[in-house]
Amino acid sequence: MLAGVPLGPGRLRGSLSIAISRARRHAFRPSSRVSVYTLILALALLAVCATAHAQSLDVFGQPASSTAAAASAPSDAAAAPSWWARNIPSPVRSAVGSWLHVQAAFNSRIERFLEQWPHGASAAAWATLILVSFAYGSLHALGPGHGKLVVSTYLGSRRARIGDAVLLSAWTAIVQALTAIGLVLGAAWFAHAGLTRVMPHAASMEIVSYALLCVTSAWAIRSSSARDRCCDEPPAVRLPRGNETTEHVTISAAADAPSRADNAAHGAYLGGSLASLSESSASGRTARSASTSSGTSRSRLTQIFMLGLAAGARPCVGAIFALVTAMAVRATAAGVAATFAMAAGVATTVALIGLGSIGANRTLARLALRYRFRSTGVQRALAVGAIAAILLFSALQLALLLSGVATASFY
Amino acid sequence: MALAHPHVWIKYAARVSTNGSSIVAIEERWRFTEGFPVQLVGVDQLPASGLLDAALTKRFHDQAFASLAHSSYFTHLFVDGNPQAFGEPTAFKVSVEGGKITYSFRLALATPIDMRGKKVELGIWDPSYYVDYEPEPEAAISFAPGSPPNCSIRSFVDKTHPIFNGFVLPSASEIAC
Repeated sequence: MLAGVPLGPGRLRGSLSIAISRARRHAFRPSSRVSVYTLILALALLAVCATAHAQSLDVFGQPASSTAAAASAPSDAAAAPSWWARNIPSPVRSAVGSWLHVQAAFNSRIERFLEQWPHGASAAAWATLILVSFAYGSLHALGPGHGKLVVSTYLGSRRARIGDAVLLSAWTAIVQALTAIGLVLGAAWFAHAGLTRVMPHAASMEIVSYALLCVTSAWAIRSSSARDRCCDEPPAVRLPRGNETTEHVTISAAADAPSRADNAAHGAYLGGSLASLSESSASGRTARSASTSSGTSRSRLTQIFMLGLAAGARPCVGAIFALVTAMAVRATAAGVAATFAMAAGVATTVALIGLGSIGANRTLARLALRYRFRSTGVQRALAVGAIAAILLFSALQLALLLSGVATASFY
Repeated sequence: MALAHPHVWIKYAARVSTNGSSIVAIEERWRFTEGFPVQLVGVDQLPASGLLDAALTKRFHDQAFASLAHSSYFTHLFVDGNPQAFGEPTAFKVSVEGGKITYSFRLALATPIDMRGKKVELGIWDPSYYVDYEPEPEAAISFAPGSPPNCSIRSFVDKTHPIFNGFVLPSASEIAC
């Protein structure tokens, strides 16, 4: 939020001191690494627990344990629809309807392609399968699920970078694809089971996903390094060069680019005030700044890794169907390729939504600057509050699923 | 299920079977998209066209039909706004038509409904929207042979039962005698 604020040398010195002080207090701790290992272990344990919990589901996503006696009950005891559900504007409904029809057409084409795969697959067929699967993934991700909530909440609540949006979206989609591939190939190779055995495990992964989100967000809130580095992209300072030109230099940039850092440390851009600093003092600060940047980067990457792992643990059912169809016609490679192409489409859509969140965050930051509203406390509260919202949402969903109040949602 | 966007697409047609002015059963036909759910039996085991044998039909019945009992097979029949109950489906058959798997079955009402002087509405949809049901292009809902000549069917968009958080309004038919 402080990007572009003109600062005088004295103020700059104060900012540097604050950053160095933070670096001392919150250097990346080994405990974070332990948390990652603990999380991976938790993933394995939860998978086992959730598998035990799973109920049998059929291709319609319905519990297979339904009894014949239930057939006599009327199917429509549901509550009256909400005001929103009854009054959505027609153009919106038309747009959603078109989206659904195109999606259905793509899905049908993928299934048909895979079904006819044994009759011969040319290079053109491969290219078409990849393109159609990518398009299907892009459209499909516009619907519920696929990690959009987690990604946009995380990115929109802190000063994230474009690379963060791409990385988090891609990682989440890759985990989703790997989960689907693992479930289907695992069921086929180890249990010699088909679709009906895969679906319950897919439903279980929703429980695993919410449990992991709980653990991840709780860790992010509890961990002092993760909490304090939620939003402290080092402030950009506008430094006078000569009498006319100015240049933005960030502490992280200084740390990442030694030549610039050295120049800054020697007061090349800062004039006499910084030039009076001793060389040893400046070197020490540069080193500490580098340490801060490195720690921040690692903390950010750790958060992205864990959030993507948690949000992506639940596979896309579209990918599962494609894989099972491909295996049924002995075209596993085509199914895997289609799954990764779908994941690329999902990642593209989710990344675009994530970029929108980053844009919203930066717009608010600019407004805050314009109205001279600066508060690190508010920034931190926003970032921690967003993670807390993910924690609460995940915990609620987990409780509903485990208590049987809600059943699995397939996306 | 709480909410899902469609992963299964079905085109349906239904015939209303009557006894006098009373509805006694709904005869339904569901046509899946290509490739679904062939995974249950494998492509190699399916005939190019025609009815499946008893063993394969049982597999489809057990693995991809019986579980819909608690949802009344997604068949919604309202009489003056009140949902009606169905009995066990009978005459369940699976066939391959034009490369697509097709279900047909008869769903008898638990109690026959006299249509005279009542507002009767029939539709097929999945409230969770995991399955997208679309009516066949022509005469998706019709009367079975032998129905009273003075009865009529009018299709409409059902705004009182929105699904998918209100973004989708299912198709339905009003039956009057």
